[in-house]
Amino acid sequence: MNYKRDKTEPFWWSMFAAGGMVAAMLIPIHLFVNGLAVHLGLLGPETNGYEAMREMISHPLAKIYFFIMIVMPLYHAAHRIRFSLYELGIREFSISMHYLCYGGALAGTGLAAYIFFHLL
Amino acid sequence: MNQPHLEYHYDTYKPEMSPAWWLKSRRYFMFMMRELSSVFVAAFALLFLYQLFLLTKGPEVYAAFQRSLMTPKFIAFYAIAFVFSVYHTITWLGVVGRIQVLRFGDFIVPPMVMTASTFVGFFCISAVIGYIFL
Repeated sequence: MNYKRDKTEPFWWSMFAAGGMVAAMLIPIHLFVNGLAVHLGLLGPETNGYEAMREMISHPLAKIYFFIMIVMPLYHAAHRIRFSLYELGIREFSISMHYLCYGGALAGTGLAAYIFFHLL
Repeated sequence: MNQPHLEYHYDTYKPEMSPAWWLKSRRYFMFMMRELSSVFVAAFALLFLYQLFLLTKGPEVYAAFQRSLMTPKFIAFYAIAFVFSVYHTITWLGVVGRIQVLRFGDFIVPPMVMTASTFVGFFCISAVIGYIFL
């Protein structure tokens, strides 16, 4: 596949850029307060406790925020994984790399949308 | 007078690259680590999504999952992912000055100021999120 001629490329590229910015700005602090700090015991488990998180996620703006925070880095990763595999010499699987990487990000988006806007 | 069409045989140049080319130089290695950072960031995003999904399963299931994350394996994962995510932030915001040009008439904002402003933004956002959770 000649990806330079692909007309969908600018769209995936812009999703990569937007995802990279979301990942750069939001992920380190969330990794710390929602992961590392709690599990190391620097913060009490109630920080991420059921009541606190349930209350937070009940707000529509929080849902949109967490949706963007989770979904955008998936597009960023899809793009980087795709090109890293090219750089390692892996050009194509039996399924096109496009479908594999961006399809994964799209599936993640659908799953996140279902969880945030239907289940929660 | 028509020239006879000459058939040339073109050989396509195919550079032979070892799959381990990125281990040959520190710069190449750091480049690949930057690419790898996205995998850890995405893994954390999906793990966090699963954690939020478990809110729908009730307090006991959620608390049990929280406890399971406190095992050394997961703590190691969070520690490594945190280092990778900070590396991504440094590299990503570090190039903003080079790729984003901001003009006001004839005045071009110096690249250093562009980069510095994104880092200021990063610390402000981190402080606000930290404050909300703490």
